[in-house]
Amino acid sequence: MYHSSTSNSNPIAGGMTRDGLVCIPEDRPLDRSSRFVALFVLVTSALLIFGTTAIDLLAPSKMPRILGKELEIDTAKRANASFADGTRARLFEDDYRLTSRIRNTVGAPYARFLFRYLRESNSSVLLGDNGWMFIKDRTIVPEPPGGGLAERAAATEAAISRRLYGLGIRHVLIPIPRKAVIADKMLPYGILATPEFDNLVVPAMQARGVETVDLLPVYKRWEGAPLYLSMDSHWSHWGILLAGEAAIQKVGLTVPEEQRSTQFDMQMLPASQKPAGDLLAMIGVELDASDNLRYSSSMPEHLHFFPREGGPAPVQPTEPKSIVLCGTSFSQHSTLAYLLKHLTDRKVTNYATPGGSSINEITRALAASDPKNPPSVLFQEIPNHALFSYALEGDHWDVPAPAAELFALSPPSVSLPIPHPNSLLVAGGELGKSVSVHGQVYIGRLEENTLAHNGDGVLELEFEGQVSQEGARLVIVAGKARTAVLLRAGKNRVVMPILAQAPGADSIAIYLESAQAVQVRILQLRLVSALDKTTLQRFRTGKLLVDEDAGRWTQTLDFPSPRLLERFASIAIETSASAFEAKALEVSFLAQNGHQEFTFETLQPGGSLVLTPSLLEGGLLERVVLSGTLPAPPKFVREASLLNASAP
Amino acid sequence: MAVRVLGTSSCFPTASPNSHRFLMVFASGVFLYYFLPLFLAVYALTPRRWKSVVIAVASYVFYGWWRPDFVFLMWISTVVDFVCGKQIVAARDGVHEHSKKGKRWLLVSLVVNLGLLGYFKYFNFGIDTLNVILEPFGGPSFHFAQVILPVGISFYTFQTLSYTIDVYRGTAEPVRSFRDFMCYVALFPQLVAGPIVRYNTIAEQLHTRTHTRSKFYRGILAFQSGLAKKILIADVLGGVADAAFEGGNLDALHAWIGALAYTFQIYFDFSGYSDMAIGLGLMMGFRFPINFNQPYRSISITDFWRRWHISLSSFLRDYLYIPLGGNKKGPVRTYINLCLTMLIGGLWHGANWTFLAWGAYQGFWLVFERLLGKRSLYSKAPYFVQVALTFVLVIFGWVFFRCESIGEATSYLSAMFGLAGDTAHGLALRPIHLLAGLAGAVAIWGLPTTQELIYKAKPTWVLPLQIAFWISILHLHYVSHVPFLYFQF
Repeated sequence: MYHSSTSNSNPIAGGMTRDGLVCIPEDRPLDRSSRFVALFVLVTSALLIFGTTAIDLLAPSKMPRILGKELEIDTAKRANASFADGTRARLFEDDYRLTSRIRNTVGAPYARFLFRYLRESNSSVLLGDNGWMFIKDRTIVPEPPGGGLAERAAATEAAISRRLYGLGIRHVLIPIPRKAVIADKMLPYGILATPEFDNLVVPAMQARGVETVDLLPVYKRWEGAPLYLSMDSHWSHWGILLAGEAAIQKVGLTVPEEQRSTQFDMQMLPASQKPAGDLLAMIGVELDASDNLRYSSSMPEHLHFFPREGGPAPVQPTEPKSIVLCGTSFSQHSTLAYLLKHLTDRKVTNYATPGGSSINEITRALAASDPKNPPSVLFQEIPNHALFSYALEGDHWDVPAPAAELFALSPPSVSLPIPHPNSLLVAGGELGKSVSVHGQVYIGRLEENTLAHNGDGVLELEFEGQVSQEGARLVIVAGKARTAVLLRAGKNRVVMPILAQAPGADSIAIYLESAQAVQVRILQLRLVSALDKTTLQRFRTGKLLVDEDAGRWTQTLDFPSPRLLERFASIAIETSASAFEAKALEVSFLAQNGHQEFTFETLQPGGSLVLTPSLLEGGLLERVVLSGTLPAPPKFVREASLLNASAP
Repeated sequence: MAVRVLGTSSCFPTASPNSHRFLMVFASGVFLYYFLPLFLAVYALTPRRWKSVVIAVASYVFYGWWRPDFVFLMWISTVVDFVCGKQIVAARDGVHEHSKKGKRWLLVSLVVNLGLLGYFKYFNFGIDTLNVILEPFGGPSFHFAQVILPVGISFYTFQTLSYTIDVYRGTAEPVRSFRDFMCYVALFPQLVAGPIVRYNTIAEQLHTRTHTRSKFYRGILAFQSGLAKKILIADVLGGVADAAFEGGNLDALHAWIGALAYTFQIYFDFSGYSDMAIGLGLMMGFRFPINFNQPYRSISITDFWRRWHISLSSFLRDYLYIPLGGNKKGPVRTYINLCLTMLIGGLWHGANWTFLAWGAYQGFWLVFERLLGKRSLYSKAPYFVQVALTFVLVIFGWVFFRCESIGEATSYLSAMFGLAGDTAHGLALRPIHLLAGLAGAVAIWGLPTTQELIYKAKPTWVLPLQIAFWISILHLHYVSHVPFLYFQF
């Protein structure tokens, strides 16, 4: 006997048949009012569903414009999308959401309602007091304090600084503290500002020798108008004013006020203007002028520049470019460039574009500058949240592609070979020999604990090669850092900094990779430093002393007279091949303006060190002390050189 | 006091693989504005005899939207069970219903279906468990690529199994055509999260169902009700539950709020999906089983299991508990059977010790109440007290269900009793959470069930439902889609 499932037996209770199926009273027609309601439901539902489909298909909204890193990510996502793994389906759904005319039309008033009456925003924006908004991803730091995020960013910026220094350009970084840190009192209840990360940024940069404008104490001291806009992700004109003044003070180019060709004042926006901001747009909310009363913080002031009456003649556009500003959306539409020009009375060229970490903009600025007459100062503005892109991905971090491109396009003119005990080429590798690359080909390796360095570009890999066609990449994996750079067809000379989160002696692996078959003839592969040979100084090596009680040996490097540590002054030390493996090695730089120490767990016999004591820049170096745990090697230092140091 | 960051409604409800994000879900623009209108239009225009084919093809598109390769897996299940069903019938000799040959074909079906389910659902868990066992003895550690769980495999595997078992038992006729069977296995409304539609409840509907305006209208009402439950209550409270359960010590009040939020979330999410499935089924002329019948109004755990996920509990009863002997082999064996059924029911939800613990917890209460004569310990208390106490017991169970490890669950339960220590913190609740919580409470304890609503279709119920539906659609435009909780099981 089989169950009959089409029979519509009487419901036992609650609209359910005896066999547990949903019950429909087919035999009982709806009364008049219910029929009217049913018609209403059918018509409105059909209109809603089919109407939305028709309108979204026939008259979709324009795809929103995206820029910078978001554009790069989007392009890669589209290129790699596939139905096989669901990514194409996801892309289709994302595109539908972005281009749905109905969604964009009805979403705005609904979002405004939620914002006004329920204090709701979408998932990417946090709502604080008095209409203050914060981007969630910029408020929550991706790594715990001390995780090395700031250090990885500092290593990259230091390498950029070194490259610009080699070109005769003074690189000054302006890290902008995050909105959540500066306007922390306006954060919603329960959201922590996590200022620890911002507190680490400037010290990390300075430790790597990056000249940095420290805005955090300047902003924290300020008790006036808000330094950030309440409904926008960017700084207010007060924030710009403080940043501009601090930056120009840092480089010492301030022109006395009476000698400037322009003046400025701070003006209120008219009360009739609607509250605006990119965060309002992000949550799809449009407010009207009446909301200015509701959200008093939505009425910012703005800087207004005008010619000084009776002042000197304005700067002519034909004058040499003396200051360059490379930055993000914080600088692109802001008056920072005008302010810098006002404060210095020099022409300021603004290369800022929204998104990214403002490194592409440095490349553009270098391409546009005259190598014989480079800008004297290059300000790189970078919001601290942009440094989140240095977060670890699994167990490694990628050196940003724009940075690798910058290094590849602007190789240093000087390259001093750095010795190391082993050959860099893999077994069987030979200079001048052609390598067929299809997939990944491993071409070079330096063993762990053979070459200790800062990891900020004092050590670089020089590659020269003849490439049959475009498409091959040179990949350097140094510890957890991965740098990849695209090689051009023809002859290439690429000098890439070896970066690391902290000073160390990680292994270095070098690969060539290509999706299609490419022939690469390797002409040169060596480790170098871009420091000038002409400043190389030899000095005296002291005797190796043993302190049995402390369980350590010590060797001091002295020289006849103190040496002035110029920018990026470094020491290169070659150790004896007969030395024991050095354990818990400490290298201390003692100068008249302080001391700086580096420690390394192990250094193999015959290993080398190349180190920059950036914190001692401008000081007179007195000695360098090396020490390690016993047993003491019979001989440790074989050869040592001081680079970029001069007689005071 | 530090407070946890709460996401908004578009948070992922549990720590599930990201692959679930690629599912086509009912509460998404692509389903509502592309798939559904296109499907309904094609279905309405297709002649009667080809409607099953349209459903099957649409279901493959729906399922393959995530991972087209897993459609092949469903085809394997479909073909194997179709062939097994035919062979079981062919093996009947007219004298013996259950011939040896028939039993062999049933065994083939069981091995293939349970083998696929076992591999895809329990392989990772098995390897991890083996490694944990071997580790103290210095044994080898096994490492394999993680097996991805095909969405809905637990549901359609049970459905196809029910077919071969019912045919073998003689309680269902073998399916007449392969296209009807494809339609049954792949039926997209209930494919990925139920209700589990047993073959014998739907066999006749596959070829003789009627399509009426009344069914279609009531289907719309059921779908609207499910969408409102999912978007306005489950997803909003899901943000609170996520913040509460994702690490950290909560103070007692907020731990209770978090557990309550999850209790509401899982009910409105799952019953919302079931309502939508029932609604879509009605639009196609099918009448599916009811899956929920006011479970949070239960007066005992025994009562709860008559009202919660009815299609699963009845499946486990008919295909596991009764074959194990049910209550026919004495009280001790009954208790063992009950516990075993609940343990397997727990494990069906996922390969994790927490699901096993949840099953054991439910089994314990069922045995305990059976010892008391199928009554609760508090059966003499006033009705509302019985409901409240049962509700609290259910909340404790959901803590195991939601946590990712037993340790996490015990920590959370400790927090509910104020034992989280000095570092305890709160949750940042927003007005919308309070509104969703109130709406949920009213829906659970004050409103009729969806099946009552669609049966009676009173204008005084239907019109407020329209308002809720329109707000849901507005809210759906506002937030990104959130997959349903039961997709992971």
